[in-house]
Amino acid sequence: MNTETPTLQTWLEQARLLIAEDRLDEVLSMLRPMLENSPQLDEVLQQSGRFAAIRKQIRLGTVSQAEANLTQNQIRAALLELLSEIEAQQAAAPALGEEMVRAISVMNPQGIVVNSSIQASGDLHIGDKQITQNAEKIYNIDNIDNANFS
Amino acid sequence: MRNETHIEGTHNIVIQGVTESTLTLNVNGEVQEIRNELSALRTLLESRQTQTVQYADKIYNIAHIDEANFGFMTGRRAFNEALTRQLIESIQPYSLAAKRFLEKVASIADWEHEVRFSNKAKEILAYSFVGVLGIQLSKLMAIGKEDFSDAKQRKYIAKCIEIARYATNLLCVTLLSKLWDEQRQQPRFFSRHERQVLEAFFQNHFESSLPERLRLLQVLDGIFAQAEHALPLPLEEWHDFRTTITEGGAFATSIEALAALQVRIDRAQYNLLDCVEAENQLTVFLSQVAFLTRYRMASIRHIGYWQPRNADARYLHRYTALGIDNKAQKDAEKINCTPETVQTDAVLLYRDDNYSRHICLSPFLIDYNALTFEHGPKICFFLSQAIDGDILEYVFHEDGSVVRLEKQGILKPDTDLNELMLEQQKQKILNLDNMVSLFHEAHACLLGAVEEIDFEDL
Repeated sequence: MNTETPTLQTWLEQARLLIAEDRLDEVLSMLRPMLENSPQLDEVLQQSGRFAAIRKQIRLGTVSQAEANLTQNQIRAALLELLSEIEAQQAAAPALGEEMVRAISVMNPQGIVVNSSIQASGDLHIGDKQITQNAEKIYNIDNIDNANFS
Repeated sequence: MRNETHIEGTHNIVIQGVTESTLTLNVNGEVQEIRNELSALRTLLESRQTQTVQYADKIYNIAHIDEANFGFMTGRRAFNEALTRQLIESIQPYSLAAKRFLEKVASIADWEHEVRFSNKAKEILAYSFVGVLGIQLSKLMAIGKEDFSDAKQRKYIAKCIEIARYATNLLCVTLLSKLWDEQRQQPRFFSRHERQVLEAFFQNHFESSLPERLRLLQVLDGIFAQAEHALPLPLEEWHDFRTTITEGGAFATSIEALAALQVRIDRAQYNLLDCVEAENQLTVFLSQVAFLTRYRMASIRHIGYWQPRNADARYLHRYTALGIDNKAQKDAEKINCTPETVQTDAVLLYRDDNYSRHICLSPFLIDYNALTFEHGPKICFFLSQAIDGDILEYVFHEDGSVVRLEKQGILKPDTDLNELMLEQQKQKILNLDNMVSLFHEAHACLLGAVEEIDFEDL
């Protein structure tokens, strides 16, 4: 298990990659907790709202493909600008960057331990998650219900 | 609104620019402006003793232009306005949302011309029409909102035809599935003509045309109508609907008109007037099947069993509610915890919100992703048998791509089912094999095992 905290740079690269793959909803979900206490949260919320609205219009057919593409491109551009802004801020004020890195590690759901020097290989379980292994797959007990348990 | 075209051609009168109030025309090289009215255009053509006018790269005969399609040409009337108004009125008896909408706009004369009203009506249509039809309608609405172009005209006409094709297909497979269920209980004999048309469905190597689908629907309806067969109505609304599918009926006539448009598309002879015709014919067509707004479709993906000690057993159905719902969710994943069982890996058609009474449409309609454990639905209609072997071809309704199902025969008499079920890859093959087997079973049940008695030969 990798317990390294991702750097802000790695995180930004990942976000840019997701934008390139048109996975805007995932980028928006990543940005929201990260900028929770930042004035840039408003920008993320606004883009999330725009994205949800355009997705709804696409589903209902109340927008043309061209208009939908335009709006999605605008959201994409706004997100890229926001990422550049975050990068610039980190360069100007490294302390702020560190704060963001902590936010990334807290929101990271894949077992990253905050401010810890624990190193382990093999099965290391921390916190109150119950993890069970069946055959070659590892399942999180929170994701198992009676239907898929059977 | 300004919509300009600059065409250089040999035609005498060319519409070069359109505004809300004026038309700019090039008359033999001389630029002239007239009122944006059909009567003004007619007068000009009469004065020049000509019958034709060019717009974009198409030439139109004034005799074919009326107030309705003139509005289309000049941008006064948007695509789908007439369809939206007519359909929302047609579905009113079946849709509470449509009824409420019409109450709210009762005092607004031409509400369909205003986007804020017509968008709401389009939303209602998209989430009211059953499953795949609702999704297809939303695609038509989106095409209607594109900027004017030659590609838009072609896409629009093609989508109108496609919607009619999917709707007719849905009705055919509904009747066919119902007939198969009934035939398993009690065999019935079909006439030579009926057998030929049914056989063509199962054995066709090419995609059926719209008229061929209509013929299949007429034959199936004829079978259900025969008193000696003692078959229940396939759908509650069928009694009223069946008159429209006979020769000269509104449903049948609109199919013939849409089939004629298909020929024009195939030959690249379409123009803007064909868009108007396609919209009008699709409106007539869908108005006849407005009752389909009472129906829903679901794809059953997985069923779990749950029975704690001293408690009654429950089944946890995981299914996809196909289509768009009133929260604008597309193909929402849902759960139903119930003491009732249901067929797995099946696409169901049911009325209102309860699928406990349903018609199972599989294997004629399949959810390929459910069968192969992929995320999200991929609803495919049976298309034809492949020419190159015992392969069933299905068409994915969202993009028209073809999915081929070839039986691999993974389940042999000595196969250990438990072992087979352990591996997901093998389970996928088994699921797909099952669909092919079911298709052949249906064929054999309806046509194969029953010897025809031709009374004319006696």
